[in-house]
Amino acid sequence: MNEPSSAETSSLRQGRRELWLILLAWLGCAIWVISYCSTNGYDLAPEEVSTLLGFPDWVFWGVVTPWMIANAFTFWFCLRFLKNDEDEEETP
Amino acid sequence: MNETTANSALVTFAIYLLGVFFLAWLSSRVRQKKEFVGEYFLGGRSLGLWAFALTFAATSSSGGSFMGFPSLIYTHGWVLALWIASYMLVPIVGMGLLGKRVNRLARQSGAVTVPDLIKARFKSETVGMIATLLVLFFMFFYLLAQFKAGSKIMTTLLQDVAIYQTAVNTVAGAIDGVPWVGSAEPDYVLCLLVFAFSVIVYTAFGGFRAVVWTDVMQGIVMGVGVIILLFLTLGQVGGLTKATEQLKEMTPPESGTGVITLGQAQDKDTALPKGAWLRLADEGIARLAEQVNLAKGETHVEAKLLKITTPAEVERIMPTDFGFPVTAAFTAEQAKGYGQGRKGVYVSAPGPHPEKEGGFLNVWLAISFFFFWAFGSAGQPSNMVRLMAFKGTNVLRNAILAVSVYYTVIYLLLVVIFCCARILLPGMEVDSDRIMPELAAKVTGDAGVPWLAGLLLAAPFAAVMSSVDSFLLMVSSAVVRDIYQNRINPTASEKRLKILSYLVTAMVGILAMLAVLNPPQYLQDLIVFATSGLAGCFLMPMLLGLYWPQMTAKGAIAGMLGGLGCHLSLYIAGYAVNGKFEPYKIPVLEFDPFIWALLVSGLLGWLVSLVQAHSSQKAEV
Repeated sequence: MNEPSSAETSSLRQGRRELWLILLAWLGCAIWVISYCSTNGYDLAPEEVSTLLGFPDWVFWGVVTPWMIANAFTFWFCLRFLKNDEDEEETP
Repeated sequence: MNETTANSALVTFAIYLLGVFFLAWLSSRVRQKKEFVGEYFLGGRSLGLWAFALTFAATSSSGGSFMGFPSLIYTHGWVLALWIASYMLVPIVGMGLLGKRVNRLARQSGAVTVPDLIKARFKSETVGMIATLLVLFFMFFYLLAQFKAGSKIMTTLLQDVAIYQTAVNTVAGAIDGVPWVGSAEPDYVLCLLVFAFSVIVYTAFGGFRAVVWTDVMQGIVMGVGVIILLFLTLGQVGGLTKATEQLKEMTPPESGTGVITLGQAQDKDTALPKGAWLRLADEGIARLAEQVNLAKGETHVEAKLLKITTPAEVERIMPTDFGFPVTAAFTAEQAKGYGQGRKGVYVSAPGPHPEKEGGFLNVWLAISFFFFWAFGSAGQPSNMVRLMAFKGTNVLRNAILAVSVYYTVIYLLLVVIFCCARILLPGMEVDSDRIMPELAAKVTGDAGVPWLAGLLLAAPFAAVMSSVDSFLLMVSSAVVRDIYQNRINPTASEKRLKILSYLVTAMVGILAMLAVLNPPQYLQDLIVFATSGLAGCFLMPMLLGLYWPQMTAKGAIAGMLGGLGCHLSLYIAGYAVNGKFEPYKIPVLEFDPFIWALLVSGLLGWLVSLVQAHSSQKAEV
């Protein structure tokens, strides 16, 4: 079996780091969204629903807020964490 | 829909088709003098930021995003925000999970298709062949369903255009008595022919580059359409807060039957159209859920009705003026679902449902969908092939960012728009799939810009076309590249491959069109079957293969076949237990079969690879 090149080893190592972070981000969002919405969003009478910027409050805190945080995380991940491979040609 | 709106839909559709054909022609010009197969099926691996981002986004958004999804929001309310919530992570999971590794392996190996890539990773013809057969099996189902969806959208959007009705009558005369086709609806046949012809021609002629360029155009049309619709809708409901406050007070309408009575006998046959409003004997108001025909002199008839139950709406809605008095007596069906007579169901989970006692979205289903949207997207071969085509990590990085913003705009705003649609258009449950065109017509008409409806109505066309073209090319590439070039004739000339690619793309499209001329039942279920089946078979073997060097060819085969076996078993069990084409849901854990298939596929792939590695080590010792 051929030994992988150092560029391949480094690409794989960095790829795994990125993979784990993506999976953790998914898990974090899943726990937030499902636990918040299942606790605060089910079987509500009209008087139990207040609005925030027009959204029912459980939608605002349980979906819209994590959505914005997920977008912020995506920006950070792409701009700071996602690395070019060592042997990759530079593309504009 | 009034005549101006209907005609603007037709004009927009014509301009849109011309644009698509122009892009296909332009793409074939660019392709000339370049290596054919890599160009035709992968666009020369040269996708830049916007092409990559928008082709990924547009392919993922099928007709369902602009017809089925709005219909669900309208019917079940704010709970759809939870149903779609994992789209917050679809860009980073769908593109980031596999993107860099897939692209790197594809460049190193020269792979053009997903089975090509799998074959290159595991250095095994058998793995490649199994992957090809799985792509062909599931993708063809998907293609059938999307052809039907495209035609249905066209019939819905063009049904009020006069010239279209003339063409429908001509088709009705032509197919009358023809075996197989004759029993289909003539409007459906006409739209299927136009839709299939357009997609087959531009995909076969233009190849991957045309598909990507049209996806870019389609992605822009969808984004602009949604933003315009948002501003018009919010303006007319008086803001989102006001709309949500009104939704709190709403109760779901009741379905039932009624005896309709004409105040005076008519001296000719009379038709009361579907959707007409009738004053009930108890001073309530109901909507006709079907067209009613009364013969000359007849004054009583029974029909399906939808009774509005929200007091503010009952007061606001005026009965349709037929030129003679009409009243109805309503008898409600026995309530068996969730939410009947309850206020607040449109602003809370699980959302009202006319049949399911547990409501629209219980917690287990919410978990299932949070998993399904993100990882189901990552496991689609049609998305993987796009990951093989971008230029480099810089493009991937910016494309993930662009798609994140794009999906936020599209999906969150669609929830807002169609929750507001309940206020503007009550009683649309009689035909909720028409909510998108009806809302576009209503808000543009009321804003004094009816011509703008055409642009808004192009969004669903764009969504379904951008999916169909990608699937068509995937099936065609599996036949030409994976079967013919890789197995039957590896030394085939460029010219032969070119002719074969055009022919196969056209033939696959024509076959799919013929298969859905008289559409079988359960096509919508086939979409779910194919999507979850593909992801269940491909995601874990790809993920393990790309990130775990010890993964073996046998492990990949076990993973793919294990995923397939689990997926099919749950559907067969579902059919045996429920007598319907639907998966068996394990009690309490009502997960989508995709989740179980993924677990089985991953576990088998991992175990078989470990056992094989262990055996090899023993043999070496």
